[in-house]
Amino acid sequence: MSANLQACSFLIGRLRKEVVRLRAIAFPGHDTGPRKWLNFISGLLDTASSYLTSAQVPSIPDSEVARLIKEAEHLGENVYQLLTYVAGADSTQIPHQVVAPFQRWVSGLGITNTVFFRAEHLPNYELSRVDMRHAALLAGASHSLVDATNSIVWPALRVSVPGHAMGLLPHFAVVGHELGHAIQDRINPDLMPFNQQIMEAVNRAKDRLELEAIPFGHEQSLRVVAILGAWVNELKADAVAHHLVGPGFFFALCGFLELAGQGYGIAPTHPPTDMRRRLLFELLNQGSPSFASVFSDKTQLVLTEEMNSPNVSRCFGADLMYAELKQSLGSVDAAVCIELVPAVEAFAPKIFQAALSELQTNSADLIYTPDQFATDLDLHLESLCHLVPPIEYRDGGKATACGLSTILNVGWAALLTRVDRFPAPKGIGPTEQVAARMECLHELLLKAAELSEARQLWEEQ
Amino acid sequence: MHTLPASDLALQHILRSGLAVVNDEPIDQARRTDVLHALVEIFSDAQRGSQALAAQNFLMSANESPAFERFALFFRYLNRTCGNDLPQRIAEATQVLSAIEEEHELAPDAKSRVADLFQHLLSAIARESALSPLVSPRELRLSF
Repeated sequence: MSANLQACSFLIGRLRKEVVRLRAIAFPGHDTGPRKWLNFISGLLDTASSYLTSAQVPSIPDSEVARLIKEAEHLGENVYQLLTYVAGADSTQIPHQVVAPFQRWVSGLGITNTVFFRAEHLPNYELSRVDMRHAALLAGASHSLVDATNSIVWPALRVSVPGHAMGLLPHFAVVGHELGHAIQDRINPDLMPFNQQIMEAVNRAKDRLELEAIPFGHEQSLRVVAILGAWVNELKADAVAHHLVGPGFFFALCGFLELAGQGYGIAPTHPPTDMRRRLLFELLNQGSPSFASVFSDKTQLVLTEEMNSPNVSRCFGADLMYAELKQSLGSVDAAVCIELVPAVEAFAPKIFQAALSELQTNSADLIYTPDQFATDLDLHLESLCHLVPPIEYRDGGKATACGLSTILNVGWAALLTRVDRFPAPKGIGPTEQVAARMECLHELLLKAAELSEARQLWEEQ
Repeated sequence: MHTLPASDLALQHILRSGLAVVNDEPIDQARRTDVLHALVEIFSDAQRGSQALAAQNFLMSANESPAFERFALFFRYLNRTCGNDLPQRIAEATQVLSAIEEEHELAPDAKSRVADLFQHLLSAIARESALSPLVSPRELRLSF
């Protein structure tokens, strides 16, 4: 047996042991996403093993042996990467109480893809898509790989949330945005009336680049498509989260952006942060009653755009921003990003409306309204200050479990306006007292998520 | 969309089997069917992406992300060798693959141009894989 075949066999064996170890771990929630993923990985390992077995057949030419071993090595390396995909999906990393309520959002939004949630030690919320449906067409794919590939609904979706210190429950409202990405293809606003504005933006970008003698060809057009697509999808996801969680999402997104860098946010992947915040704030002020008016009525605090994100940077004029941005993004991406801003802001309301229509058609039960917000604050805000978590409410004599959006919104209202009314822990200084009270609120909200889910399960039986 | 190297390996295997199909070499019938189906899907998506780009439909990625992603992938791999002919080559390959799938007769020249395109793709995938850098060391330091 050649040395590289031996080394590869050893790698595959070690990876199998790792899969066995992961199979013994409890993954929270009702979903089987991580298990399906581990089955897929096992299938790849079985395929790699079959390549190594074939490579040992004496009649096979040397070139074929080399190819088989190389491809087995390739699969082994891939499996090593794919294992990181489930890292943090176990209960030690992600608060187990939130996974089942998140899964209710998943099913309520009609997301049929294979999904799993995981936490990582990064200030990042992310929906990662992996599409490996063609893995079953690897030559000599094992039966286990074919079965596992077919049992996953591709693209597989992994929702990442920050772990540990940054994993404060109210911030998890941002998961609504990530799940919005999962249904973004179902939201189809008619943006053709804005085509002229888009073309004008592209022409302005061309003009900027022409001054630097940079031609505008296929490659640059692809950048426009990629950036515009990413920005539209970000706004679709913001819209879904807004309609799902209301002010809870505004507070969570802005609070997270304040903690995670406070930058302009403008990049090929995201429109400017101040524009997103402005658009969401406008939504909170629409209608009668509006979310903003309810918040002010119930908390006696006026909701402002910068309430929990005073340090997020606002973009300045296009020329200055371009000069700054091209240092980090390069001229093409910087020119496209800068010039797209006005066009995207102009059609954003269409996106929000299309998202609402989609939810009204397919997920009406999940839409969070100002009336519900008012009821939630009436029923739970004071009680929460007396350490009673928002688990259930009386609805005509019948107790009904609180939804996750209720818990998040009551949590945010308490966090922003009532933390000083939580009982003061003894024996610690004034600075630590605020943190201790917030920790107490976090624990109460986790308890609410866990017990309301238990209540809901009980009602469903 | 994340693309992982294992997807590239699957793509390589699909292209190699596709080569056997267009070169009329022996291939298991079930695999022939599966591979042709996958190739028609991949090339049709890329063709839609290429047409949308030619029509300056900059909203394509938001409306038709698979088409955009497939064309972007082909552009990455084949722009160097095909240049401005790329949209035409993708359209031609889509037509030939669909015709093979529907068991229509084709001129040998049409098939050999598709085989040539597959070879270019395989070379580009191999080249990109060979040129991938190792993971960079991470450093954390204060900078002034």
